[in-house]
Amino acid sequence: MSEQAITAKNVDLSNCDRELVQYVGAIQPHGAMLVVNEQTYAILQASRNIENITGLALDQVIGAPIESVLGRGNANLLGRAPLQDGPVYVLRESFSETSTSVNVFAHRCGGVLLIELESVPEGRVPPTIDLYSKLRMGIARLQATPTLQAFFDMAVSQIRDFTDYDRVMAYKFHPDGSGHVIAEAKRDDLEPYLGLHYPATDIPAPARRLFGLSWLRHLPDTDYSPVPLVPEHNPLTGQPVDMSYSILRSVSVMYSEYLKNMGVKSTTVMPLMREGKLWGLISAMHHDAPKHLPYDVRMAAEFLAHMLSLLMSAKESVQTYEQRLRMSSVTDQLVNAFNREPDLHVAFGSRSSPVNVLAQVPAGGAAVVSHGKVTLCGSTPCASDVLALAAWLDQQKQPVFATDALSEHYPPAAQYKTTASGLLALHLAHRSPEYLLWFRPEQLQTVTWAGNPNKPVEIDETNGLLVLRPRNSFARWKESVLGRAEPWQPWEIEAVANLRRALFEALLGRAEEIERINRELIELNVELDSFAYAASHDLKEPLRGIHHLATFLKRENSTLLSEEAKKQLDMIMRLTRRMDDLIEALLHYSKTGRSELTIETVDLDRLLDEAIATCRHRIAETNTAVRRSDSLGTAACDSVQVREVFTNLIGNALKYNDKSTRWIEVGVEQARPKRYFVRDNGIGIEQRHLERIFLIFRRLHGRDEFGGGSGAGLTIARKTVERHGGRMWVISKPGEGSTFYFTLEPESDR
Amino acid sequence: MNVRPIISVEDSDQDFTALRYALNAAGVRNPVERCESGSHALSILNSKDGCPLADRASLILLDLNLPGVDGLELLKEFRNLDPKRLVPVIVLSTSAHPADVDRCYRAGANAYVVKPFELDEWKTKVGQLAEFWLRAAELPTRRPL
Repeated sequence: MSEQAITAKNVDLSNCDRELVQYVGAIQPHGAMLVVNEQTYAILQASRNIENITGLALDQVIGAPIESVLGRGNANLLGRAPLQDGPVYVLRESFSETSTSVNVFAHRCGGVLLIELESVPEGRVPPTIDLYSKLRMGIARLQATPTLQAFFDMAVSQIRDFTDYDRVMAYKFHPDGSGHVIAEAKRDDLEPYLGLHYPATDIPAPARRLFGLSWLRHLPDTDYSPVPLVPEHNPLTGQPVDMSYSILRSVSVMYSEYLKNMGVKSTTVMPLMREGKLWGLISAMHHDAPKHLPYDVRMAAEFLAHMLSLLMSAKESVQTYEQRLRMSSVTDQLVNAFNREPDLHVAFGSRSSPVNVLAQVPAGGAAVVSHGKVTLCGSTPCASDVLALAAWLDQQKQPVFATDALSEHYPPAAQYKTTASGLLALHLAHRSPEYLLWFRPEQLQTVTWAGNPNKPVEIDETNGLLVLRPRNSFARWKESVLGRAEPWQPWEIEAVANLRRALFEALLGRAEEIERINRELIELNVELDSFAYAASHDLKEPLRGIHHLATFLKRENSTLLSEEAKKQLDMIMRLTRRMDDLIEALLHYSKTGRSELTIETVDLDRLLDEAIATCRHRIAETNTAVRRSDSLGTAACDSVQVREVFTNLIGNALKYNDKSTRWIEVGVEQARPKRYFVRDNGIGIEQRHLERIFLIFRRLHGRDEFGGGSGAGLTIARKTVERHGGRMWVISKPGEGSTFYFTLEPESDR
Repeated sequence: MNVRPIISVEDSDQDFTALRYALNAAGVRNPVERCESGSHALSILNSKDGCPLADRASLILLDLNLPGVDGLELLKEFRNLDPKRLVPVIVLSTSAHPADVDRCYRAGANAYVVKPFELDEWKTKVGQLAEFWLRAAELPTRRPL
C-alpha cells in the first residue's frame, strides 16, 4: 500500500484509478457478513446488519464461536469445504426470529474465513432442470454461430432471456482502456447503447482488475446504503479485510454513483476472458427497479459467461484460421500469376484476372510500384502520391512496414488519410524501389461516445468545496478519430511476409532461368557468328567465280562479242560486285551487334580528324568545304566504332549533294547529353522517309545514283550509337540539306 | 630464282583459274601442281617415300575451305611432314575473320591472304606474293643442315 491508501473514504475521480476497492470495509444490505478466525472459528467482525438477518445482536455475535450463529453441525461443514478458490455455497439456513432464509457462502482470504449470508429473494425460482436445458440449448446455438458478431448477438440475447434484465450488452475493451458496446439485447422501448464508446475513466483500472477476479458481480440495488463491518479492522491484525472475492462486497461509490447517473437500478457484470486476460464484459442492467437475482440463476449465468470466454477464444481462432487459409490461398495464386507473368504490374495489378494484389489482405486499396510505374487497385492515393510514399519507404529499409496511423510517421500522408491512414508495405527489390502496398481508410470517421469523454466529471462547488462526481450526462458525443485505420492483425502482416518469401523464391528461380538463357544466348551468338562467316564464304566463292568468268569472257573474246553482249557482261560484273558488297555489309552489321565495345575516354576531335582523312579523296573530288565549328571534346566510347559513325555520316553528306557549292558542317550542341551533328547542304530527305533511311538495305535513290552504296551504313551507325546508350535521328528539308544528330549516352531522368 | 613446283591446294576451279591467270600475268614460270582436295594433297605428298617436302615444292598455296580434310588440318599435317618449316605455306582464303587468321598463323602459316573479288586484284596480290617469295626471298636449300 502506498503512503496514503485510497479507499471508499477518500476516493474521487482524480484518484479512483488507484482506489483500493477491495478494502472497502462494507457490504451491500441484501445479506450479512462474518469474519472468522481460521484456527479458532471465533467471530472477529460482523456486518452491522447481522441482527436484521439472524436476530442475534452484534455484541452477542462478536467474539462468539461461529456455531453460535450457524449451529454446531453446520459449522463443522466449514472445516470440510474447499474454501481456497473463492466463495463456495455451503448451505441454506433459515432464521426463525427474522423469518429470513439465507444462502451461506464461505471462502478464505487474507488469513481469515469470510462467511457471507445472502438473503434469498422472494418470488419463484425456476427449477434447476429448466435452467440446465436452457443452458445446454444456448451453448449449442452459440457454437453454431458463423461469425464472432453473431456469437455475441446470440450471447447477449441468451443472457437476457435467462436473467430477465432490461438490457444486456457485450462490451469490448480497447488497448487504451476505453471500450465500446459490440452487441446488445434490450427492452424495445429503451434507447440503444450499441456502438457507443466509453472512455477509460468509466471503468478504472482497479475495477477492471476486480472484474477479472470473479466470474459474476451482482449489484441488486444501486441505491443501497453500504453496511460497515464492526469493528472496522480485523482486531488481530489491525488491517482492513481483503474482500476481493466477496459476493456482498460494497462497490466503489464512484461506480454506484455512475450507474445511478446512467439510470441503472440493478446490474450484473460478468467478465469475458481471453488467454487469462480481461477482454470485455457482459453487462446486464435493470432500469425500472432493483432486481435481486436468485443464486441458481446467477450460477447458470456465471456458467454461461465462463462458456462464452472459452467459446469466444475458439471462435476467434477458427475465424483467424479461416482468414489465414484464405490469405495463403491468395498468396499461392499471386505467386502462380507471377511465375506466368514476370511483369509485376500485369501479374498483380490486373483488374480482369481472378486474383489481384488487393485480395491478399482485407484493405480498401492496393498498389504495385515497380520500375517507376504505379498500378492502383481499389481506393488509393493518386499515383504520384504513391510514388512519393515509395521513395520515403525506401529510406525506412524495412522489408515489411505496417502502421494504422501513417501520417504520424509520414506527415504528407495527412492529405490522403481518408483513403490511406493504414499502410501495409512489402519491399520487394533492394536496388529499385519495388513495393506492394495495401491501404486502409481512416476508421469510423466519428466515434460516438456515451457523453463527452473529455469531461467525465461534474464539479460541484456550491458548498465551497471541490466535489467531483461521475458524469451524469450520457448524451451521445461524437468525436472525430483522425488519421487512424483499423490496425493490421498479426496474421495479416504474417501473410504479407509469407508472400514476400514466396516471391523471392520465385525470383530466385527466375534468376537461374535468366542465367541459363544467357548462357544459351552466348552459345547461340558464337554459333551465329560462325554461321555468318561460313555463309558469307560459301556465297562469296561462287559469286567470285561468276565475276571472274564474266571478266575472262569479256577480255578474251572481245573481238567475237557484239556490243550488246559486252554490255550484258558488264551488267553481270556490276551485279556480282553489288552482291558481294551486300554480303559484306550484312556481315559487318551482324558483327556490330555482337562485338564487345571497348569503352575509353576518347578525344572526339582527333577521331573526327581521322574520319575526315579517310574521306579526303571524296572531299577533294566533290570540292566540298568541311566546317568544324566547336571542339567536340571527349567522350567515353569505342573509338573504332564511333570513328566509323563519323566516316559514314560524312560519306553520306558528301554523296547526297547536287549543289555547285557544297559544304558540310560537323559540330556539337551542348544539351544533356551532348548532341553531335553532321550537317550538309545536300539534297535533303522527305519527311515520310526520315525513318526509312535507317532500315537495312532500304534505299531512296537508284542503285547507281549518288555513287551507290550497300544501304547498310546508316543502319550500322544507328546500331553503334544505340549500343553506346545513345540515339540517332535526322532533321531535313528536301532540297536544302539534312542534319544527322547522335548522342553517346542515355538521356538522363527518364 | 627457285624453279621447284608450286603446289596449289584449291577445290574451286574458278579460283584456280584466277590463280593461274594471275601467276602467268606475274611472269611466274614454275610448274604448278594442283590438288583438288586435302586428302588428294596428302596422298601425293606421302607417295614419294623418303623425299623431303622441300625437295618437291618451292611454295604451297593453300585454300582454307576444302571438302573433307580442311585447310587448317592440312596445314598442321604439312608441318608434321616438314617439322623444320622449310617450305613456306601461304593461306589463301575468302574469310577475313580474325579468328581464322590467328588460327592459321598459330598452325604455322607463313602468310595469310584474303582472296580478292576482282580479277585484276588477283593479278596484283599474286604478283606481290611471287615477287617476294620467289624473287626477293631466298628459300631454303634442298638439303637441310
